[in-house]
Amino acid sequence: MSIEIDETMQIFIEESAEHLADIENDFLAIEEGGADVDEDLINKVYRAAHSIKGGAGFMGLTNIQNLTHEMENILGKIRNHEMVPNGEIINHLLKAADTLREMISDVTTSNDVDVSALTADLAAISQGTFEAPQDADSQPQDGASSGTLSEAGGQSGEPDDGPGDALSEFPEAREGIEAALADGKNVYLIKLDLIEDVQRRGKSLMDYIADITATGGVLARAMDLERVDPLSEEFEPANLPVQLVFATVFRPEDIDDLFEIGLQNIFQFDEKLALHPLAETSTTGVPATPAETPPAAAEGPGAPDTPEKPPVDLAGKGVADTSETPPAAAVRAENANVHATHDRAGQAEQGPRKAAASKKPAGQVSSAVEASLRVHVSLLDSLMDLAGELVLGRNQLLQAMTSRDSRLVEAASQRIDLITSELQEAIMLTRMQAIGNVFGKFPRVVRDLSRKLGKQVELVLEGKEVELDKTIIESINDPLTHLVRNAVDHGIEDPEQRLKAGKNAVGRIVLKAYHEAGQVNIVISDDGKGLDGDRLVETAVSKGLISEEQAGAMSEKEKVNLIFLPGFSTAREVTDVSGRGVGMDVVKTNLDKLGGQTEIESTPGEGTTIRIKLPLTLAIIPSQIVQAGGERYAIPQVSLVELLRIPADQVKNRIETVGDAEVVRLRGDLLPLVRLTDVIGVERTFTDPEGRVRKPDQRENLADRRSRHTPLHASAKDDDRSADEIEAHPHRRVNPLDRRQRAASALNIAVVSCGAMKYGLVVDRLFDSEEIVVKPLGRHLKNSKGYAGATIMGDGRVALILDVSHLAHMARLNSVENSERAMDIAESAEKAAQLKADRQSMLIFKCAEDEHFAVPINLVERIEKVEGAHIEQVGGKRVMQYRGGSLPLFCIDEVAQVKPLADHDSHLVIVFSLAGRELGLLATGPVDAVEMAIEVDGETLRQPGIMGSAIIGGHTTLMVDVYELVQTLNPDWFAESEAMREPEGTDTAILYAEDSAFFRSQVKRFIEEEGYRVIEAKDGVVAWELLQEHAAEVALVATDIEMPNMDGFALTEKIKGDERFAHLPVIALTTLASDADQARGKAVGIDDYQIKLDREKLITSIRAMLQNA
Amino acid sequence: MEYGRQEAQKGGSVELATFYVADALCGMDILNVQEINKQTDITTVPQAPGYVKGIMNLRGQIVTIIDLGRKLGLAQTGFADKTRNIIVNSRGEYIGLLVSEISDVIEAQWEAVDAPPANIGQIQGEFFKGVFKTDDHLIGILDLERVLAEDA
Amino acid sequence: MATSKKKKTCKTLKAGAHIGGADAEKLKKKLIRATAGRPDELRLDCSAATDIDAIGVGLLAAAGRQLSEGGGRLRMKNVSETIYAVVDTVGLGRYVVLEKAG
Repeated sequence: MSIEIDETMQIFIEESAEHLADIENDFLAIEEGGADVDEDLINKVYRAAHSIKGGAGFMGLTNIQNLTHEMENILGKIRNHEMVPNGEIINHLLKAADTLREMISDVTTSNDVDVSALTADLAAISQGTFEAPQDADSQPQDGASSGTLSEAGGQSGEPDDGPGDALSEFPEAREGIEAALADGKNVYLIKLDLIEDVQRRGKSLMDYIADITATGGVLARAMDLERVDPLSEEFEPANLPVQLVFATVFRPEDIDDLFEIGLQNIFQFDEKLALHPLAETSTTGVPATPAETPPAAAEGPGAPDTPEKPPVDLAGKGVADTSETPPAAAVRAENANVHATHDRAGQAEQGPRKAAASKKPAGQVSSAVEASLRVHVSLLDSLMDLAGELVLGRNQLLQAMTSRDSRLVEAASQRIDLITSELQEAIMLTRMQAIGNVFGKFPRVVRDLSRKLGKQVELVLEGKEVELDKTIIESINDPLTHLVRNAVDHGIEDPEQRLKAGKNAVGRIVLKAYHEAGQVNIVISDDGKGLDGDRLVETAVSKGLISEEQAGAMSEKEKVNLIFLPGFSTAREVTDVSGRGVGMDVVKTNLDKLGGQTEIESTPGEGTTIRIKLPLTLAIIPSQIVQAGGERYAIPQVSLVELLRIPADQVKNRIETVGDAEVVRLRGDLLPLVRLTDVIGVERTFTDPEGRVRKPDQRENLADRRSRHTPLHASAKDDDRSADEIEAHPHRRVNPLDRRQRAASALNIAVVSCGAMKYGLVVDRLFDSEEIVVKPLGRHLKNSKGYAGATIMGDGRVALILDVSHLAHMARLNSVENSERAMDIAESAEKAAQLKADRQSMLIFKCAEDEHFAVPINLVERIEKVEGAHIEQVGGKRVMQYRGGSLPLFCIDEVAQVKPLADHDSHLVIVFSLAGRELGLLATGPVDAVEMAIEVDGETLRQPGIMGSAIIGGHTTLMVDVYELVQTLNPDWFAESEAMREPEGTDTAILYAEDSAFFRSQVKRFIEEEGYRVIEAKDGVVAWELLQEHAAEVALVATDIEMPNMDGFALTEKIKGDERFAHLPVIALTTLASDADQARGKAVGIDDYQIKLDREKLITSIRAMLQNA
Repeated sequence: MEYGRQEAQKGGSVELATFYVADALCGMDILNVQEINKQTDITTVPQAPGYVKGIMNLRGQIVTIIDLGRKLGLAQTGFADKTRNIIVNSRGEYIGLLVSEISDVIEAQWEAVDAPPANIGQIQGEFFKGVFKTDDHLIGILDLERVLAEDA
Repeated sequence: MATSKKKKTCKTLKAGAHIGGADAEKLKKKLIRATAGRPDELRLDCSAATDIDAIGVGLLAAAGRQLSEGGGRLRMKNVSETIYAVVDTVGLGRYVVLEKAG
């Protein structure tokens, strides 16, 4: 009797599917309950089985009927406490449920399925006569039932023949085989099908045969036309089986690389000329689905929990056949199979129905089309409402357009804009599904796998209700499954090991999902043995994935992340979840493709945690539009950290080059820069501000200016000329209109992040942020790395969506390299920073022969020489006759604890002018004038008269504070000027910006000693902030020029440009005042230039400025 | 093998949309042709395979435009007055083929279609299903799937 | 009474450059027509053939078997080295007589 699928059958199938939906988890719960039987739960499952049995009987589905009958028996016994549901029993029940599902999904052939063994086992169990076979996992019925099932689907092609008696087929080959074996060759019996294995796979028969004959010798061959139709009009050979006896040096593990027909079709002759199959699993030669893997795992995640196929079959196509799914899906859609649920929160429970999952050939990637959805009624109502609103809005617009009243048009379009957004949101919500669908099958996975491996693992699921777009749900299935299996397989240790380590024998895996910051976070953590960063490094180095040096520079976190490197997992470790190779790198790639970010943390001995962040939806994403090379690109907001614009004049300062890498300093961190045009390989263009024309960009470096030197190599003499200077000297060979100096040559940088790494993407222009619809690229572009899709802009043109992590790879910025590079950069930056530090001109001299001193040259009037004999003692002080007067002389050793002046006949006199009078400092030669950036240590050797110390020319050199010296020796010297001091307790504050701590403390002291209050800032940015805070008190600003983050010029510009502060006098403090600097300073509004350590002049200037204010 | 049967069922002839790829006159079953347009506003895709001219917006779908000349091993097809895109549907995806010039629709009898030679006008024979001779021309009937195969 | 010796019927076909492939249909038709008359020998001149695929092999094998059932045979003549290697290896010789060229 052929089984028809009519309406009654349809209903039966649907209802049965519903019953079976939860049955797996129910069985697991029952198992957990053990002897403590939950009657309600048992009843639930019992009723489910009972209904299915009833319907099946009515429909003539005897197999289903018998199977459910046996299940009922067992459940009944459990309910009556006559039987305790142990692992063994539950195993069988689960197996039965799986088989039931498969039969329900393919009712028409259900009666052909051989469930005799399974039914017998179940019967034996319920009668208490069941005896478990030796190997608990190779249940014979597995092979039988799944073997026949796969045959029913016509999947494996080759009938499950054994090798048969090959020698009777090829008697003439005996000698040849013996000879080949004696020769050390491997001899195989190959069963191949020319049509199936060669023609259908698009291979050239001639090449195929040529390869074979080149690799070994065909000792015998036989073509079998028994199953081939006779020649006729309709003749179209579907099979052409051929057997070969083949001798070759190829070993069993490689032989199928040659033939590619599957190991079940290859047999090997041993020395006794007996044949052995090469396939590892069952002896039937058909790959049986192993008990421990979720039965449909070979093809896709759907089958166990989501019987989708019944509805597909409803379209009248009896046998589930993958290739027919698309039209079936279309038919389904037309049948408007949107199930509304009134009771539960709908989506969570039933979840997506997946089409034709279980019969798909392993190689085919999930074209598992979701043919239908469950949608909450209220959502449908909203959609209806919105549709109505949209109609109204459109009418309004049409009317407004005919009226030509622009206000009406505006109002209408605003309304439509609003409705469109809501509509979009509502539609997206229909696609959202609870992640529980994916989570739902993991308890079984964990249970089966842990049993197989002899481990005890508990799985905790959190956040099952968290919703994701269905396309993402489909795509995370495989990666998550792999990660969970990994955790059980490689993470959790054996119970004994765990106990030894002081842990609970039962391992714990937590799988958690939650929303955060507009993304869905999934966390998988286990309390297993964790990852050993160093061992990972070893493996990576030995595989040549990273170099030793890179390894040395890696942080713990980076070491652990090595596991994601392509090529890291060896073939052996790759556990076959869905019939294709999956390694951690593939997991990461798949997650990356979804726009997700993956991170892994681990503590050896304690466990591992993997965190995944995914966007809520793929379809529409907010993104930043940029332009490069004349085309527009979109950067998904989720990858964008911030936008940075560097004005043309700051480019040189802020961009640094290390080797061939360019970086920008961003709030203290160094950010690698990548030019988008370079990475994707288009011509760099820029928009000429003159003609608004795009031209190829001739600049080599981002920071290219006339000087080809970078800050690393710059010396003071190489100072670049400013724009003003160029204008002033147009006759020089540099082009005065050189656009390098123009504002349009500012740098636009999109700072993006991928995983733990950030970098700056340099683009030509930055546009607005927009919400864009993500559209996939065609198959010819799927290998083009760097793009995550394309979108259609408002003007109808297409813009590509950038994949920032791929771009990072393309620019060779992966984090391992990055840290190596970061180290390089940090080093060179430090050196550069040193060079940028204030340069001083110092006079170096000695007092005692072996003590070195220095004093700022600017303070020095001149240097004289005096004979010891000419030094006179007057009133306890030394003087000398000088230029018609007496020059007071002093020496450092009079104030500071230093060795006494060397005993020479003559000495040098360094003449200073303080408080309007001259005095001389006795010193020992030789003197030297030195100009260098020095780090002054203002603490260690500080004492009266000595401001600090520095290493100059290899010697520890003490910096002399002449002012203090004189003050200590001769307080009256400054008596006059003291009178001019401000009274104490004044409100007046002076804002002082200076990055060098040393100078800051020195100058601050000067100023404070004059009675002013000083508000100190360590750079322009801080100064600006403080200025705003203390706006009322600040009367004057003193600022250094060279400072990070914002230099003196920029600060002054800001101050002068702000009407609140424009009135403030600004004094620039510098160590070297070149003409260029002065000119520039004037341009930005600096009122006065002073030397930092020239205390007198500074104070005078301050006083003058304040008086005039 | 299958197309032979299809063709035979149609009663032995096929309508070919013909067009020039460089100097070679090629044809394809007109049933494969979705539309022909002149759009030249193609967004380039840097780092794409050489034969991909770019992508284009076709009523909301992103269509890959393949330079048919390049794909068949000839020189690049430049944009000129007569250049056109032939939009075909392959495996559920719209793909555009950029050709130098569109020519007439010609009815060809399958019986008169010969096996393709080793090459036609410097294009490898493997891209063709056959050749059809008219009085003035030799039309190479393209094997669409082979042409669109993703290898270079 | 003299029994007339039955005259041996012999037909010759010429194969194209491709045995199978794009020409499969043509070849099939030719073979069907040729075998319909149940000749004692059907000769297939393969001098122009440069390649062969599984469909072609299938066609030839089916034709060969058909002929043998009627007491005749299919003979491939002037088979090039490369094609010979293929058809010989896959065992076509069971149904078809293979003769190398030259």
